[in-house]
Amino acid sequence: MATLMAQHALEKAIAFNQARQGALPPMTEEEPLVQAPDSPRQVSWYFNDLAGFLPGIEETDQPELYWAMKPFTCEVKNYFIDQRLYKIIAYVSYDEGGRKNRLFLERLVSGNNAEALASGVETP
Amino acid sequence: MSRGFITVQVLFGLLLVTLLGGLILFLPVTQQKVRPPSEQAVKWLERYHGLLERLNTDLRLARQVQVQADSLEVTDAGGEPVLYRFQSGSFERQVRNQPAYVFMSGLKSGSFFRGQLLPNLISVLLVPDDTQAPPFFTSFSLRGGSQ
Repeated sequence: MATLMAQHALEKAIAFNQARQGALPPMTEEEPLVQAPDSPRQVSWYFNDLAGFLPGIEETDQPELYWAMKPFTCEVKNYFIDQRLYKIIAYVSYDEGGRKNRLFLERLVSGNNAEALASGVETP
Repeated sequence: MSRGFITVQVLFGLLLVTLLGGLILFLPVTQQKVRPPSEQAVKWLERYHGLLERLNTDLRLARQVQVQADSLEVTDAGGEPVLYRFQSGSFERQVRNQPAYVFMSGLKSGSFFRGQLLPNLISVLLVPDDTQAPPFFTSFSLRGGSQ
């Protein structure tokens, strides 16, 4: 499941990069994939517009998917490699038996605003 | 010079034995907490792995995509259409004029979505009948066969 979630985040980053002519996808901190009623933490941008639900899914929308995604968090970072080349890494974390596991998938893509990344500016 | 009944060596020896004993008792306790996935869940994950590989290949090479609620038609640069379809609890893949290959059956639902904000992102959601089995959900960006 973590692999599927990381694949989703990475593919959304690539789709963003292609749709915006090489713009960098947003960098996000570690955030939940679905909204928990008892938590004020915001859902990761990478899990908005999900399965036909723009603000992300809630328990009543797709209960099976909601509960499957609830244990996971997602973080996405862009790393500058070369003038027009950068690396996107999608991290997905979850707890298992009291231990925190973290899985990541990465992809090299070309970008037209890699300079902004190099200077530490995060794309909104 | 020695004073009392316990020498420093004995004290360190006792400390080492205590630490080793604690470690031996602690390890099984922590290992018991990590339960391996059930046999049924492993079977589903194996099917998901095959499906993910296939969808990744087909959608990476896609030039045209038609998304319906329960089907997805992908056409590559050579004009060869590939149809993914959810039908009567089964998820199938069919290449033109060839018999459909059933990827998995025993599904409650199967749906395809195109991103509203990013139309070049296609998502697939499969929910098994078995409530203990995890759903399949992931997405694929359309690259026009470029990557």
